[in-house]
Amino acid sequence: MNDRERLLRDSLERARVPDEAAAEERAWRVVVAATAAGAARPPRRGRRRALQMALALGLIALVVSPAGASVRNWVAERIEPGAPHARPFLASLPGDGSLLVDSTQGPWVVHPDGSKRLLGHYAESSWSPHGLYAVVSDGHELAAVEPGGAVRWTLTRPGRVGLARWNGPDGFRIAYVEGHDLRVVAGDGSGDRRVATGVAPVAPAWRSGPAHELAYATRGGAVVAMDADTGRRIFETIARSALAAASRSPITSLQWVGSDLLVTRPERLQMLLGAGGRPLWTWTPPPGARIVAASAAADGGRVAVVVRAGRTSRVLLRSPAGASRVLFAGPGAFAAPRWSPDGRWLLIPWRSADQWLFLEPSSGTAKLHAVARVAQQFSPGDRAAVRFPSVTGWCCTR
Amino acid sequence: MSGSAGDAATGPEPQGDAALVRAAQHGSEEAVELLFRRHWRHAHRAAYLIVRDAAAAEDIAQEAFLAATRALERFDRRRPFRPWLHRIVVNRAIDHARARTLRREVGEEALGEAAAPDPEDRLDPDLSAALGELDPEQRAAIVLRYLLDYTPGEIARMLELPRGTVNSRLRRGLDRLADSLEGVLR
Repeated sequence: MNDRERLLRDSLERARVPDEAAAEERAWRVVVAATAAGAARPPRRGRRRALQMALALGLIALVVSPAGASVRNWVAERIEPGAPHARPFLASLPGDGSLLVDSTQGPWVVHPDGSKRLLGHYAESSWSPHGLYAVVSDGHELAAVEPGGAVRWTLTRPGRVGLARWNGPDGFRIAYVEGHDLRVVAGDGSGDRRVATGVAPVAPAWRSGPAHELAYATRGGAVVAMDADTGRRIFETIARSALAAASRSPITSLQWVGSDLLVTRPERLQMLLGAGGRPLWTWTPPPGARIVAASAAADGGRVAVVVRAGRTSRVLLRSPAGASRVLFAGPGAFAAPRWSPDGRWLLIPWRSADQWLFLEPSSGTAKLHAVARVAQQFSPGDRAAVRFPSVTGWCCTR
Repeated sequence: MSGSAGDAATGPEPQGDAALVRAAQHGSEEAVELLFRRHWRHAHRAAYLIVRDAAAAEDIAQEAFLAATRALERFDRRRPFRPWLHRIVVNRAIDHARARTLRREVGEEALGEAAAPDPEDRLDPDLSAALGELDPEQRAAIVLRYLLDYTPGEIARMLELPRGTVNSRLRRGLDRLADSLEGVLR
């Protein structure tokens, strides 16, 4: 090696990567998590046995599950989907705040007066905590846009990105999924990094508060809560890959409700204690029914649950005391319900009827406003059959 | 191979990589951590010097360790761990750097900033800029030779290239870095 080569070697040896020590700790935590997930996976023969056990347990559960009072309360169904006297267009929203709606043409912001604006050709969107921005994604691109459509920043990743969620109340972090990785980027688009791997395609959930605590679902069916800045694991439920596969019951959504975490699966709804991940309560639908979606109101006490059984869907309201009552029932499919920011109104997208229903659950008069031709309103100019839009958020009371 | 001692070559090593791999295969988390701590720093720096982007380097090194951890069960203990890991890192870094030149990435300005001298990287600014001007394959050869201490023959085997190609990349790379190295000497 000559002098020049020795000099080059010494120079490279002195090179440091910015944020090197923190990167090492982040990487180590990701490796630990991946190793733990691998260890949790039973060997093949064990998996088959677990599968058989799970099937047997599932059958037992179906036999012994009580039908419950909610079954008796279910209302008689109409034959055809759709509420009568639905308005042909959305004239205004019944409550404060603006909706964010993903459609075939892209995400739309719907203002309280009913006016709406297309944010661009993005596939998915989600509000920032105060509704000042939306985080949007499409293919390999993640972007922060203003409700007026102006793009603040964009980020391009090698893999497909989506399921982005902005933390609150400070708005300093955005979590998103790229392939099987969970990544976090600062609210200004800087500092993008992976915080976990082996994640399921479920939107991560930020716990509201000054700490940047994040919950996500793993591909093995577990729920993990972690500090997104330090990588510290707050809790992890037991991963039951075989069990989850056997019951065909992946986690479909996560939502922090105060200090606890609402976990939705088709066959059960669970509130986990944020401190350690133990179940605070569990609700199972009647035999033959499955949970389509659940959403807790901002006040934390009430949970709207969409349940489908055969050709009928029902929206149940679970009270803080644990009692549930039927809010609405009808033929066909409902999508995920959304609460207004003040918790007064509940929006139920009735996919089969191409309608939105606005219900006021606390009202003794059972007010209901229905809006028809929803798909066409969010795909103006499209003559072909258009996809029923997805309401991703209702934000915020100012 | 000249660099077989691993990154923690400054102190005595109670266990070699082979013993740690064996222990890791038997479920020792401590062995996994020792392997990680021993090799992370150089893997991370190698990725950084090739891609010139700290976030991408972290990703690449993480992915390499994840791939290594997942493949550990099947890993042939007769093979040395270090070049196996470095091969993963360097190939991923080259792929990333190539893809970036092909893809229009938003934040090109940010990439430009990443290529500019960073106060933390302690690399001579001229040398850093000159490294950034090499193509990814040349940077990889330089990093493997002068940071990770592999011989040209070992680099040729790792990258599945003729030895002559490796020598040529090293020579051309060194020539292009010559001016900035002279600057460091002055």
